[in-house]
Amino acid sequence: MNSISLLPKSIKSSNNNRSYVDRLLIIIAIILILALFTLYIVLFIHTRKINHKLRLLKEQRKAIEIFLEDKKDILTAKDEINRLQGIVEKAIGKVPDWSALFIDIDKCKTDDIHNRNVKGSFDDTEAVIIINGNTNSQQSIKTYMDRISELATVSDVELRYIRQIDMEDTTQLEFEIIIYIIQEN
Amino acid sequence: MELVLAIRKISIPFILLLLILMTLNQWQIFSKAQSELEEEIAAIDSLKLKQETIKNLTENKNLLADSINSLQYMIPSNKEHSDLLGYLNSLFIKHNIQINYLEFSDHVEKEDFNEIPINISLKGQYNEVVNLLNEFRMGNRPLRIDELHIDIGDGSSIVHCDILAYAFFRETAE
Repeated sequence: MNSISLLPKSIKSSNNNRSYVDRLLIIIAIILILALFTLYIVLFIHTRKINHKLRLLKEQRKAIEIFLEDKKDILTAKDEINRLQGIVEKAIGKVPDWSALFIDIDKCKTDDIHNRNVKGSFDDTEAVIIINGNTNSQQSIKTYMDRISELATVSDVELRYIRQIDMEDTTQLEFEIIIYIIQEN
Repeated sequence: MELVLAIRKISIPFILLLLILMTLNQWQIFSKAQSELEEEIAAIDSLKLKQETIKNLTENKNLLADSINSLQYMIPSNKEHSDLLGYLNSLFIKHNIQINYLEFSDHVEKEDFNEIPINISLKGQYNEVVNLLNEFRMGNRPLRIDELHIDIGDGSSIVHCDILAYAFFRETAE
């Protein structure tokens, strides 16, 4: 039996549209529900996996902690070594290696340079060597100072004085130079 | 029929809302577990590093004991003047150095240690004096030389040397 609708065409068309939108909304809602449910399941499984891994790691940590507790004396010894090394380094400070410096400075001498006095002093801010010596020529002192200033441990070389020892002999000179040492780190 | 439609209309948003809330809650649980895992991995890594260090140290246990002994000798727990004198004397003999004057002054307290100022006046071959200075620095009981004066004179092989050095110990002697 055929049904006949006597409703006007405009109302019939509006009803059709509404039912189409409803169906579309229901489909979208079902897709959303399925997607959310899948996401929930994935998160749930991952969380369980993470918790399992976490439990294993905690057990492993406990085992390592027991091992460390057993070997505590070795760690204490290592700490003591570090502490003592720190004290030694602090006590020695940035003092220059005097012997190495003297050997290097000696190598800078020309044949006619003779050092009579060598003084070294060190404090927290500065390390200095003062050399008093004799020579025959000013050129030798210049060469000596140039060579010293090229040493890696030297920051600066200053001439304090050059003077004749004997007023009648121009070849007998005495001098004083000051050497500033780079502070070791 | 209208009731069924009404229930359907209410239940779909309700299920959707419920699922959103459940997923958000699960996300929070997941994030918390994830960050806990990261923290645990970091803690384990640091502990493993310690464990590795200890394993290496255990293999060289004798070396560790030797290091402690030599450091404790370098910077003893008290001033031990007689030990210090014995050590210095052994160096002077080794380098054929003649001592003219030796003075241990009162110790000076520093932050983590104490210093014993030592004034030394000596004579010997220039090379041996330089070697002695090296031994003061690198020897078993290091000394810090703050001041020194080497009088080389007019070319004689023997030089005079005055030194202000510092020896160290850890605790206050009193």
